[in-house]
Amino acid sequence: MNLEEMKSTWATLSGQLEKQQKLTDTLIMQMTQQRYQNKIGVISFYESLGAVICVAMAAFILFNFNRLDDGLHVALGVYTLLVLIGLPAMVLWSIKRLKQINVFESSYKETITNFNKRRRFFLLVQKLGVAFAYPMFFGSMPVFSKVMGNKSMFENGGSVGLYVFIGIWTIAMFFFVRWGYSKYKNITNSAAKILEDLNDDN
Amino acid sequence: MQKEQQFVKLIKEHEGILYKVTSIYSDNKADQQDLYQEIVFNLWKSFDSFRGDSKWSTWMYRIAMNTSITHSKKKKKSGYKVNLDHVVLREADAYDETFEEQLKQLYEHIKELNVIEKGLILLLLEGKKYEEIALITGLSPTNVGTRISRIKKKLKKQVRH
Repeated sequence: MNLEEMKSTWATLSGQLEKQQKLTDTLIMQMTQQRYQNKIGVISFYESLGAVICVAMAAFILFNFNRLDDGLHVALGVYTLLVLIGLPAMVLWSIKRLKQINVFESSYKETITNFNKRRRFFLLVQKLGVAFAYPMFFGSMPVFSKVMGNKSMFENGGSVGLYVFIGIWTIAMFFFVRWGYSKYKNITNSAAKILEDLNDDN
Repeated sequence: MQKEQQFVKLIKEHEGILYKVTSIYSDNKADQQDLYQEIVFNLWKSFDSFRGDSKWSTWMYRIAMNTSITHSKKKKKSGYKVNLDHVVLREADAYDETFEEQLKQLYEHIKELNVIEKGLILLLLEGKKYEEIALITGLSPTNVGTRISRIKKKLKKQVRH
């Protein structure tokens, strides 16, 4: 094969390549999937961190559960444990469902429908989290007072400082939860936008 | 237009370059897929530095060839193994048998060349002028001319054997 023949074969190859488009479609899908995973990865990171803290707190209560010596403390302890373990588990599960969205496996319509369904569930879990967080916060204080210092808040009452702390923490938590929820909503909105872009690209 | 969209659009317009460069610098499909991903990744990484002073295709050739040369050296050094990923490179489904045979021969000739020569022959086959080849490779036009005439001699020798 001489150089001229090589050139002619190469030109035919170039012509064939012009006609096909399989490669870039795959590339676009890959980039979309990657960008989508990155968005969900942000939520996953913070929630996993939160889950580790919750599980550590639950483990601490469990190891000192014998210090809860009356019915009220035991009930509050069980409630705190349930929330500390159950809520992060539900949140992580809802994130896992979001992560499982795969643009390679289903059609555009199915992807969007699946995503919207899972996103609604994720945001519902977040709202549930808020609903449980306040009762847990107040309910866990006597529990922690018992397991950490073996003191009953119901018998000894609390200091002025403690009540000021509770007041400030309640307000701060309100703003934090609102901020966190809107942040998650924005992230899932932009993840939705990435998936919607698939339609424009194709 | 968003950065990602602009990037994808440019890649889409010049995807043939990627296919041709990766096919010359790889020995098998898995290797080609890996090299393809590496090039796209490097193009994406340096996309911000592309100011449009040169043509997009020139810039793309430059990054693609530099990546391929590094990839070849790395592979040679460490017996670098590639893993298969999701990228599906196009199948040559529309080719006829005669063309496939010619293509096979063409690649066999190219595989005999060293990494730099492979790049030069690729650009020559692409119909690039010596000046543009020089711009892409960073060699001087005279040096390009000398190296290309050496390649031609090598190819002639191969044909004779």
